[in-house]
Amino acid sequence: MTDVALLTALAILFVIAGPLLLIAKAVRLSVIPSLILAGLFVGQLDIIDEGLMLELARLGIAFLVFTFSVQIHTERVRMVVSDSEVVAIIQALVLGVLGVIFALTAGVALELATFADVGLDEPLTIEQALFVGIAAALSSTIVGTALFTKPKTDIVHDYLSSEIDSFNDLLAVFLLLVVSAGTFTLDPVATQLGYGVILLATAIVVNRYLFGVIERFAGGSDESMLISIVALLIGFLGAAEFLETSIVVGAFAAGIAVRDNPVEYSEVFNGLTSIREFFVAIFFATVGALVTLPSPTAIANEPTAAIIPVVPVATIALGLIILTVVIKPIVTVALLVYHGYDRRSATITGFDMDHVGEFSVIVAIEALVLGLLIEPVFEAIILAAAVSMLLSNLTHNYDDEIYRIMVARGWLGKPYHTVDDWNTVPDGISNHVVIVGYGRQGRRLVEFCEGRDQPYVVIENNPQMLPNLRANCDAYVLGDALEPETIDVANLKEAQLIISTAESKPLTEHFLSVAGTVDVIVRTRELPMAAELIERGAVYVIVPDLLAADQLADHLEALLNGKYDPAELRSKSVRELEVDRAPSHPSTAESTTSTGEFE
Amino acid sequence: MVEVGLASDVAVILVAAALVGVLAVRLNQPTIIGYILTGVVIGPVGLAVVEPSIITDTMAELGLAFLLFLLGIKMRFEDIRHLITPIVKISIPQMAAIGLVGFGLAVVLPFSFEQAVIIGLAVMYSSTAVVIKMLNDKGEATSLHGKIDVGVLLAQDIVVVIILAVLAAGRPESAADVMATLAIVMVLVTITTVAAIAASRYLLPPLFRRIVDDTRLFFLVAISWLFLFVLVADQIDILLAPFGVDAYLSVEMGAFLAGLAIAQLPYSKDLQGRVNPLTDLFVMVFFVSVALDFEAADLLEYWQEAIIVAVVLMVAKFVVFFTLLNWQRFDLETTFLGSINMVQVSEFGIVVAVAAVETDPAFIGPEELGFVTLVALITMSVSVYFVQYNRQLFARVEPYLSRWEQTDPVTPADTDYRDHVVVIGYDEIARRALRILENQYDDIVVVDRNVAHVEAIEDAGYEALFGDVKYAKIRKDAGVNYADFVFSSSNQMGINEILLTETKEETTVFVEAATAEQAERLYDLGADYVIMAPQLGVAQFIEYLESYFQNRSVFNRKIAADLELMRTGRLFPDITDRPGGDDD
Repeated sequence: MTDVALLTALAILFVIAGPLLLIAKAVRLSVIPSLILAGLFVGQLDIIDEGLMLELARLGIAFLVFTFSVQIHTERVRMVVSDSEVVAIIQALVLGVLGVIFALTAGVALELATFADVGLDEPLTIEQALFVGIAAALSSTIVGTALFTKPKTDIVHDYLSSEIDSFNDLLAVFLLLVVSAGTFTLDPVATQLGYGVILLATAIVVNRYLFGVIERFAGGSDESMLISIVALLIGFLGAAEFLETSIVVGAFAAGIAVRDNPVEYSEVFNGLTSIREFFVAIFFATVGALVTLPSPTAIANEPTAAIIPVVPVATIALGLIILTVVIKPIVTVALLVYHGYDRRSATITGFDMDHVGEFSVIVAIEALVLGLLIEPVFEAIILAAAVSMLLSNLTHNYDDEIYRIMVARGWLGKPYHTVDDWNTVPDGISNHVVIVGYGRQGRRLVEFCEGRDQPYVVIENNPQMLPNLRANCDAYVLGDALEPETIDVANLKEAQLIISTAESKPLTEHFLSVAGTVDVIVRTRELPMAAELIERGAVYVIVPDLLAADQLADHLEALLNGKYDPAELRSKSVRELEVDRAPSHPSTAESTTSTGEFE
Repeated sequence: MVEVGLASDVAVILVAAALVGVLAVRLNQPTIIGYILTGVVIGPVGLAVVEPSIITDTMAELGLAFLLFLLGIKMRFEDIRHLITPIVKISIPQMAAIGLVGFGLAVVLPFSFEQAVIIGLAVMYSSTAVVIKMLNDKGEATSLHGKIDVGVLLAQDIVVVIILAVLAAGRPESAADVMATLAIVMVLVTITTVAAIAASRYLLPPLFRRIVDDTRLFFLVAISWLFLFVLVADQIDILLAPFGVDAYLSVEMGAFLAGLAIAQLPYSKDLQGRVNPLTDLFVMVFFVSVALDFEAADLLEYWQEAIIVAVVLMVAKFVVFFTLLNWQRFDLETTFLGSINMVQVSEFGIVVAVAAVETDPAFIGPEELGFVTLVALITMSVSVYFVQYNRQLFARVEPYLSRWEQTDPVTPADTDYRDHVVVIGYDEIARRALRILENQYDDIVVVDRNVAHVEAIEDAGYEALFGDVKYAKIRKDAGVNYADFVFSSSNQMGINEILLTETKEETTVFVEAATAEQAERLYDLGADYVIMAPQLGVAQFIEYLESYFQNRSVFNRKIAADLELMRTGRLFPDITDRPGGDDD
């Protein structure tokens, strides 16, 4: 190793990462794989002191887990396990088992030494295989949903992805706790869990009693508050180290100890975000730097000698990539479709899951540090993570296109549930209004139709809305508005008016194709797009902000002209609020398309 | 594989500094004092539980780099242009005078000529950290005296950077050697400055324009930019060695210039908010580690001298500043406040002294470093109270100062917003509101964190501020707490709650909410009107729908205006991107 100051090493790391990030942006790749790649490059320069970098990197892990924990503990705790979480559990189990089986098989194959010198120095034990299983099973919040810049309009699958991902994250933290036990035998696990419980209990005590003291002492100074919270985190990390459990557990507990008060301490949380991003960047770059690749010159000179040592790593990595990029989406789609989600939402959710999550990387690093994981398996996991994250970017950016190709080739089969399972549309309905999407807007439209005794049919594609539909809708059909069966049941052709509250391109296209015989109102957020849709035959286009602006303008003008005084406006609008007490469901609202399934 | 534990020295430093720092805040002392004291307590001087390690040293180095980077980001030419002349006329004579006073005192006291030079060079700056922090806390940073002080501090910082570069070159052997070093440093500084300014003109605008909408990417690329300069500055001797040039450039200078290049972009304010916390964290480690290298004996070796020098310097600084500000024809109050704020010795004095200890062979020993540190500590602690009670002090002494009252004082135009409109976010709803509001208000500033939007806002003739309102810095620049009307078309609860707590009672506040529960909460917090866009939209749509079923011609008439709007897209200032606009 060349002797370079840590500052210089850091500087080189960031200087290489910068241009890579810019390139990544140009080709629409996300940040994390770019950072891992930057680390890979720097790692080959052999200037990084791995021990020192790992210390900084673990601060990254700590901040990552810490902020994650701050986020989740403030959300309500639900006792009911939703469909998507069932999917998450089964998916993780299936992939985990497949990963373990694959790793063991690969281990045996490598033992048998198909090539003369190919093999692992150490046997691939069941413990090692378990880590491969973990890597295969867990996708993650950050890569899956948070990082992508694509605008989110398809709410059903976004909602699904984030639920499954959050569940995976929780699972990951639990696994980390287990991993930090140092071994998988039962006894230490119990001890570690005990320590974990102690830490969490301490955290709750701190949250209840001590945090107020800290708040009072910081005296409203953002800087002191920030430093105090960092110190609190470090304190918990220290406690975790002392108890010889993973710092992840400490960071998680520290997150619980912090009272989340986003308004008063907005600057503090902004600050934590900045600090986190800095260390997380170092973390992912370090992960890349820990992977050793054969040098290009060596490959050029002696191809076999250079490549043979990496065959085991490459084999395991390739297997993991196939598991996460191909098998995992298939499993996810199958499970979602079985639960009544439409083919499109399910497929796109599947594409969100097709990577090795960053929590798997953290699990791998912790396992490596604790001496549980042998280096080839670790490197394989990291490589698979980098590659699958890159691929995940591609599938995410082109999910719609891929979906259409898959449907066109018939790979998705036929819908699993027939449309007759879930519909209450009377036969021979005609001259009715078809309302697509039973979100907030859809519900108001239903009320409006019922108020006028106007026959209507609601088309909705989220099975979670079923109870609501059953309770409040005379005529509904659960299904993909693009599937011919759904269209038949809703008798689209003989409707008077179709109102689509879903902002989905394929759906909008489809409705415009019948605009000659039926009045069609579609929705878009973009003004220029609205003009185009009108051109193409829509009677009207819902541009939500435009409509809202019309109403708002009246209020604002009245206020400024002195027609209302502020108090009047206030009380008037508070009254209106009472009337408009629509229950808010997180998903579906202005959602979309397709219900369809596998056989 | 390396055995890794979380660096325990870092842990001890962070936790201890947090405790002492919080205590310092409680006692109305600057946090810096707390941090330095922490170093004293846990370092070799006190309990000796921590020794400097590679990690702490690196974090300390990063602290300085980030501090200078942040300072660079704040250096917007246009903000300080009208004050540049008086600031130059004040700062140069001031530094010369105080440098001489410091040097003279040191020579009289038992210091060698060379040590006295370093001491003179170390004491001539006032503390950026103390003054800017206090001014911010008191809300005086944008007052006239605040601007003068900030300007003078920046001028001093440039000098610090040059002196650090000269010191980094090591001990000069003769006056010619000093000149040669100074010349190389000046040439390098000039080249780097030109490179930085050229980059800020030609390279950075298109580059950041592409990525700035992605906050995390923006932040990381900015840091990468910082490290590029740090790397070049740090390795310049190796880079130029093949050319036979013995060159040095300080990391701080590199960091400062990296920041300067970004400062000229419209995105700099947003970045300040993001870099600030990292700076706080690392600077803390820096200040703690200052004392880690001392023995108690070193710090207190010259304690009597330190007290004398501290007292004389504070008096001298006040007199020099007062004279110079008065000479520049500022009014009496500005002159007094501008001077009383600046009487302390800067943390950069310690940095200069540290650099002088680290040269090979050293200019000064650890005792002299201890002396400078002690002087800085004393003057900073005392001056905090002067800044805190500057107006009360002025009221007391005003009668005695009347003969320095100007008959025709300089009063630069006040550029701050007052009784204006702040619009947050630029979407269809905000645009409609803007058209109505502009009939009533002259000053309207629109805050948005999307480049395309900001450009559209400016094209439409409104003032635009690029940044995320969740940062206090941005809200301050938009003058949220002085606004007469605040219109937020963001439906993020956090942001709206902050806006409602920060605006004055009589300010009219319109905010947006996504659900009825949120709306209710916002009304409770004092919102005058909560925009619920989806509900408003549905209400309007149902109006249309009613006429659709009753009378098609009425329906057609009602929607005509909307259709016209969609067709032309011209009623509003042009903007063609989608509202999120994030994916270019």
